[in-house]
Amino acid sequence: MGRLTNGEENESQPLNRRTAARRPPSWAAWLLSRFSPPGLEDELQGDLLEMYAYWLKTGGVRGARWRYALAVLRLIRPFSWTTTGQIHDEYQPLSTLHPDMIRNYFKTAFRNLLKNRVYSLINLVGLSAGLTCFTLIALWVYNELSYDTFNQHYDRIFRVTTTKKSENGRSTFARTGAVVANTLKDNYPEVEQTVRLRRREEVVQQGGKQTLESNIIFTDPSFFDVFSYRLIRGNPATALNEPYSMILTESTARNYFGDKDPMGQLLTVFLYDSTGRGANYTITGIIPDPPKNAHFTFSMLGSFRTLEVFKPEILTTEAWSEQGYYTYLLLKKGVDYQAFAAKIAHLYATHTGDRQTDYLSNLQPLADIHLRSQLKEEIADTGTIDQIYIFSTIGLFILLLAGINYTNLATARSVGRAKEVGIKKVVGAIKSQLILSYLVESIIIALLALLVSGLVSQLMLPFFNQFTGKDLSLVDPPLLLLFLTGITVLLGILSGLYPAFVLSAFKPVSVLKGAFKSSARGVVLRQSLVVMQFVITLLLITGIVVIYTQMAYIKHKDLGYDNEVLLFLKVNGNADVVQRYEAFRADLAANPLIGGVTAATSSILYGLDAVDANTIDRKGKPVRAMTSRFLVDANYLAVYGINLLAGKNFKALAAGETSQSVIVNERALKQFGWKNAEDAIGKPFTVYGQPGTIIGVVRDFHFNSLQHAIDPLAIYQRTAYFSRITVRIDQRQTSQAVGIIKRVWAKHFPNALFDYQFYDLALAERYQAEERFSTILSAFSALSLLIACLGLYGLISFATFQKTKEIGIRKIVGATVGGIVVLLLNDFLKPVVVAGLIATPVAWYLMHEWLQNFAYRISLSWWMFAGAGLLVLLMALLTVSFQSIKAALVNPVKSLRSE
Amino acid sequence: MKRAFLGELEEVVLLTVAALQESAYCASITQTIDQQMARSISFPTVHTTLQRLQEKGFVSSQMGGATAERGGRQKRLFTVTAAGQRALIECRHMRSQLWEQIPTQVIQLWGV
Repeated sequence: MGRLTNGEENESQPLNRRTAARRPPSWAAWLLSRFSPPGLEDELQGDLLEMYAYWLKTGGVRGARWRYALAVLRLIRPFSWTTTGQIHDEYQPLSTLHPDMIRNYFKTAFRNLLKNRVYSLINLVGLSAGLTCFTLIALWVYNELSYDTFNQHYDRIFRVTTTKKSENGRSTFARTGAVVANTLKDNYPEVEQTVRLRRREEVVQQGGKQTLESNIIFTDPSFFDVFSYRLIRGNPATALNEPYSMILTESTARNYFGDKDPMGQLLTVFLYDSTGRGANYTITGIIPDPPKNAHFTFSMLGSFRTLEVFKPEILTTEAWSEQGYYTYLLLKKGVDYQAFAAKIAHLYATHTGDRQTDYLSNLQPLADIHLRSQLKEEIADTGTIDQIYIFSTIGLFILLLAGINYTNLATARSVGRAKEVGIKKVVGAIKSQLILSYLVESIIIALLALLVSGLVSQLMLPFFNQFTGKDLSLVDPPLLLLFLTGITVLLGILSGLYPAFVLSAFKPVSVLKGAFKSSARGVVLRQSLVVMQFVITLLLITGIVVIYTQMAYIKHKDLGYDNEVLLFLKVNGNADVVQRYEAFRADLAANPLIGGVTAATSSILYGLDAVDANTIDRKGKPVRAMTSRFLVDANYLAVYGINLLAGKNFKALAAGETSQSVIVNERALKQFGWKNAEDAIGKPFTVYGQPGTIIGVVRDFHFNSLQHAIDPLAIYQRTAYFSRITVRIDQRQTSQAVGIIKRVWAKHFPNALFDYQFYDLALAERYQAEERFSTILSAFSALSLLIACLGLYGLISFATFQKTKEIGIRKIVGATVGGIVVLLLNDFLKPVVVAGLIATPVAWYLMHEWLQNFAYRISLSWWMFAGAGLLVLLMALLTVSFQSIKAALVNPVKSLRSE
Repeated sequence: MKRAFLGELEEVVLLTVAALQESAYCASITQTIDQQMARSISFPTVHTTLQRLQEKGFVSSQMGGATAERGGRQKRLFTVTAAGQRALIECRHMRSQLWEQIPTQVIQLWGV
């Protein structure tokens, strides 16, 4: 076209470039060069250059630049509405992005969607179901990932962890000794600030009413320097300085004091008091309810000074090994935490002078605590990064399923739309226009689905929140909506791309002549997409079968003790209960509805602390191993129905009497190298230098959740302190029994809270995370099955429509209805069978991995896979058979007369 | 088919094309109208009008005549077609008919 490049243009006009003003505004020139109506680029640029020179002469620089810019804006697309095509003698189609064409895309898209309502509805339902899932999962994942990041300095905050070496290996704890914080702050310049936390669950008394507060945290005044919490009332610098000071959250304050001003009031807490009747804490501040996306929350903040005053020994050198406190560091800017962690690894050895110590220190970034830390004695239940991965994958999978549905249906329908494409091409549509118009169609339906899913998610959110225990909101991260819209458009484009290319590639001559009949094109792709859908569905459903079987196994596994019906009573540190327990027990045990009463230091459900134990093996050689330990009374084995293999039970103790008797379990026999139960009897057993003698061996029983194997166990006889009372009650009259226990409790302990829980509820709570996981997974599997079946339904409807004539002819030449149904089903059940072949090994592998989480697990067997496969096959069969039978029953006269 | 109608602006532009003969292209036409008719007219308006005239078949165009002052880019040169000529002549004819119908005294009174 004789157009010269910019470089040459500049050379050809050396004189005009004396000043910038001699040239038109460069942005306008650029616009003109990019967005001129096609075919007119050259002449317009040339003409306007001339005009600019003219305007310079007549109107001055400013006027010329202004007029140039105005002219450009009016000439460029899309503002120039000139029908440029007709300037040329030969025909030239409209630009693909011409405003008229874009209007046309939307118009035809809406018409098409309305014309095929069933088809649009199938797509809409599938896509909105997928998007709803995805939205909820995205919200959940976003929330999980946001834990603790609200802290301003979260990237400089680290938790000090303690690793303990023993012969059984290493275990890492989230807690440290109380002295660690100050030691670090005083001796290491890298540390800017430290804070200690101690979490307690205690009874609070106010106005004669007792409440159990499960989330009391005792901490230093530096809490407010390290973490980004603000006070509404009170001074953060001084509120936690004095012992027995307490900061309440807004809702806790409202609970206890209503509309009264809580500042300066007293609250009785059964914590750190020498009397056992509660100590008075002064309210020195009010804090807003803490954000839920933190790895710890609280309802009250007590001053750590309280502990230092009440238990001064926690600050001595011996206290290095008493790990009861969470220590957080705020490192100075620019400190490499890994290097610093290496430096403090031997903190215990350095500061206690004990070169042989088993303790190692390490640091853990704050942001890792919620998802990446599975340490012992975490401050609260953590999430796992694996769950994030699993649910993100499921979310994407379900979105994929919905997208595949669209692609499949649109491709299958392409035959029906061949004529449309033919006509459009004949009247001059070009390929890019057709592609774009079909893409617009898929994007529109995806956006409609987003709208529907937004409404559905909003409706489901309250339930979802209740279920997950979070408070999620659709508009909370405003970017999420943008992200979802982006994902939706992407989904529309991806699922519409293939059909758009298939459709736009039709040859007008052949389709209009009618030669184009079969939908052979894309059959392979379509079938493999269906296979993929069913692979995903099968994976999810097999997962559900296995998970449910495992959960049922856990619920019904013989735990080694009799759990019908046990009731737990919590002491909550009440001194009255501990002191007057015997009278209470005697009174209660006399009742015929009560099968037995016992008190112990730990619950049987939550695992026990392990200690180093020393004894001798069969040959008298000293052995040492980590052994779990708890203290019970003489009734314990009877109440729990735990069988003795050898030796005898504890003897009942008179007041003030102590006992050195120890009972071990079967696992301990193996650990300490005793051949049989009789071997163990009479062996010395020493913990913390306290001598003891083994008097009995019990059958193994579970004292933790079934994720954990049974560890060696040593049962001691308790003398004074205990924390839990277990009552066996008549399982036929549980409510009467509870009533009796409550009465007896009130009679003996009028000042103590009656805090009870049934065994099965406590157990369910223990497996809540797994239950939750399986419920969510079943919801998703059901949904994916629904989406896959919807897609199948759409496909079979079009296939039977396509084969109307084939079926007619077959019937005329003698095919039976049954034969035709089988013929139709064959096509659609094949993918399901293939999917089964692919999914089974993958599912086997995945579920095998999942089961590794449990020390006690079911073994995978064929029926789980067969069952899932059969279920899916049945659903697919149901979906396709209705349409197939309908098609097979049609009178051939009807289907053939039109030709 | 309805007779192609020549608007006032179209008439002016078409006349200018005829007047400029070989050197009639968008920029020169705009400048001529601007100078000679003392009428402020924007370049895009002329551009659009020319396109409309071409659609109606009153002008035809071909490319040519790149000069240095326009950055070496080609011009679209317009020529009046036979149909354009007819339309112009008819226009002029109609006007003179109307002129002739004005009574002579009135014309004299106007001092034309």
